[in-house]
Amino acid sequence: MNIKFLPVLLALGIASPVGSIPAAGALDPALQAHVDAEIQAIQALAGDPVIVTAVKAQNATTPPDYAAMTQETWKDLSKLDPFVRAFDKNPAGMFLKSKKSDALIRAFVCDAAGLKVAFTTKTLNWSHKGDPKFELPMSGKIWQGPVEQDKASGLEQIQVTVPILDGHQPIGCLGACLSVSKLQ
Amino acid sequence: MTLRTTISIPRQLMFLVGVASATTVVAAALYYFASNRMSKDSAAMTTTTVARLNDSYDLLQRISADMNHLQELMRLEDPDAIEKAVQDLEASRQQSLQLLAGSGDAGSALRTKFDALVVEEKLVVDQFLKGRNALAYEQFLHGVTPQSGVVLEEVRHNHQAIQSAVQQGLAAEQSRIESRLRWQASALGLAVVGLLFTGWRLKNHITAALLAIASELRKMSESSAGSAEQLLAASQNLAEGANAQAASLEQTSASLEELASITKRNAENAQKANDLAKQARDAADKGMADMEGMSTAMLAIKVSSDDVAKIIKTIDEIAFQTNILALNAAVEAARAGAAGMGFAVVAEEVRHLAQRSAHAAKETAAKIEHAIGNTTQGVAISSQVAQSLREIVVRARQVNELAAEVAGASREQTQGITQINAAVGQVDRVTQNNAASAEESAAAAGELNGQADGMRRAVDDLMRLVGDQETSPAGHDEPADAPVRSPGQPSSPQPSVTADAATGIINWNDERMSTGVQTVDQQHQELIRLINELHLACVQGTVTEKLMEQLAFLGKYATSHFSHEEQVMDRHRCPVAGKNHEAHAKFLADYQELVATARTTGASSRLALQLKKMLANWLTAHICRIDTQLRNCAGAGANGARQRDEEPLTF
Repeated sequence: MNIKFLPVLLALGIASPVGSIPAAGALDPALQAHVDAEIQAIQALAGDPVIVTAVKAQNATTPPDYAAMTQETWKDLSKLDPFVRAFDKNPAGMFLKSKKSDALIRAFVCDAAGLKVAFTTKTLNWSHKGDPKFELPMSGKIWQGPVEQDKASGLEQIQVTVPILDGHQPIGCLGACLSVSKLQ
Repeated sequence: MTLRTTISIPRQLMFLVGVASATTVVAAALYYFASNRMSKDSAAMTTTTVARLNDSYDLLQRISADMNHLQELMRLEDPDAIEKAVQDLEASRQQSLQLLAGSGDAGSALRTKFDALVVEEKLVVDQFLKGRNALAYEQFLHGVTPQSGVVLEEVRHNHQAIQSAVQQGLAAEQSRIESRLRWQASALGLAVVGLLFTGWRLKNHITAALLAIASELRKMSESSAGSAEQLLAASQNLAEGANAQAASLEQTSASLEELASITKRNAENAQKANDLAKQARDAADKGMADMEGMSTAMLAIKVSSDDVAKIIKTIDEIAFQTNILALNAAVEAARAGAAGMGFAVVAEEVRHLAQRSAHAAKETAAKIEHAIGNTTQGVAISSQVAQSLREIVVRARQVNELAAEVAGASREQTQGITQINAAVGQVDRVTQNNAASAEESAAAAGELNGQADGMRRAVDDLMRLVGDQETSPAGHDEPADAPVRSPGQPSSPQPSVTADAATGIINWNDERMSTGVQTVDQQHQELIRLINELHLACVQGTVTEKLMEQLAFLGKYATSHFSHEEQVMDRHRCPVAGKNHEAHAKFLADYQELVATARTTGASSRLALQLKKMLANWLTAHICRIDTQLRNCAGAGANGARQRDEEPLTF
């Protein structure tokens, strides 16, 4: 990391919504700037009425099969299982798929309980409750993960989660997976 | 009579050609059907083989494609794309299974191995769809890839089996085709041999028939040539007779025209006599009327004389009574004496007057008696004259009637002679036409003779064509343009004029006509051209329009040519110069006579024929016989260089 930009990054971390980005995930400023730009776009998605409405609805009434779903069961479900496909075929899932780009390769929406509301592709975990990527947004902050390598494609990617706000109250989170190669 | 002789040669040829054609068609049809069958068998085998090979290749492609699809599937994230890829993979598997189902028992092993491959692929897909990508890749590498190698090896094995089966099938088909072609070639060879034998037999038969026909035709052509010669001679005789008949008719026509003229004059004179007789009868009638008037007048004079005589008698009686009275007065005066002296003188004078009156009355009576006598005699004479005049009138009327009858008869005679003259003119025209027809018949006979000669040569050609090695009889090899006698030419063979057999046109014959002097020959050629023009005009029916013009040309030609030719002969001291002069003089005399006839009677085809005959005779009898002797005098051969010491003349 370039030392001379550290004061600037610190200042930005204090002033910006993503000020909670852990230091271990510190990126090259140029890459971070791209990530920040994408985060702003993801925040805009999180504020879309389609997303907010879907989260509020699921928060209000959680489907029984959602409540009964366990992580083990979720892992055995095929990507083409109707239960799984329902998350990418509902309005919020369709909305997310419509917003996919070269940089934004995957996205998901969780309700206040950490259960899935919608996603573009089946996630590994059914619930992210207890995970920082869920807990931080639910506290109104933005979570940014480190640069990781995708097991399937081998591409470098960065996950971020932003809160879904009802007014100023977090009601869920929207996670996105960004392709590092497309951000540069 | 055999069957071959009853069938015509064209039919036999057609039969042979038909059999050959049928054989060819049958052979071609057999070859076609055999080729077609072989082609179909080959096509079916090829189709089956290609289909099996295609299925094999298709299966290979599908297995390779399924491997690719499987790998692509494992890289997909979008659920829709994954779902579609899974469906496509399943569809591809179904098609592969259909291909395997079509391979029959030979593909059962391949089917088993392919099913095992499908199981491995499903395991990979299942792991992938559950998100266990690492396991899916591991399954792909250790399960699908080896099994696909097994399947591909089995496919290659099947492919080799197909190729081996095809090679065996091709070898069997090749053997079958060769056997069939041997049979067909043998049958076709037998048919060709049969056709050749039949053609050889037919050729012998046709040759024999044609030889017989050609021999018959040769006899007929020789007979036809003889007939044509006779016809030519007869036509020439007929032409000469027609010409002579035409000349006689011309004279008859002239006599009839003269007779018609005389008869016409007689009719006119008879008409004049009739008119004069009529006038005489009218004059007699008028004299008769005058005579009757005169007789009436004479009778009136006689009556008047009788009346005067009566008056004179009365006067005489008065004079007598007056004399008596004078005598009585004298007596009385005498009785009266002196007193009556004067009275007696008067009475005497009265008596003298009475006596003079009586005397005058007597003289007058005598004169009147004499006049009455003369009148009576005049009346009698006038009666006689009237009677004579009546007889004259009767005779004049008879003369008038006879003159009218003579005039009518003369008119009828004139009409009759006119009709006779017209009939003679018609006969003259018919005779001239006959003469022209005879000329044409002579030309046609000459042409027929040429055709007969041509037919003879054709027969010889036919004989040679059919293989007759005998040469044609001597005299049959005359050239086509052999000299023929022109119409009206004497029948002596030499010298003759060369004329075209078909058209009758006379051609210049250098050997027989040349004088050795170019200018003279050129002028003689001009004469031949004139004769040919006359001939063509006769044939075309335009001779009367051109005759006067040709006569005028002939006059100029004769004058110039004769003078020139005589000068040449004189210059070369030719011994026939004198004879040539005489012949020229006679020709000019004949020409003048012909021109005079033409001017009198007008141009006619008869005159044209006469002129043509005269010129043809001149060409044959004078030019070919006399003028040609000039080449002996001029020292030039017939075929040698011509003398050019004279300038050519123009007409």
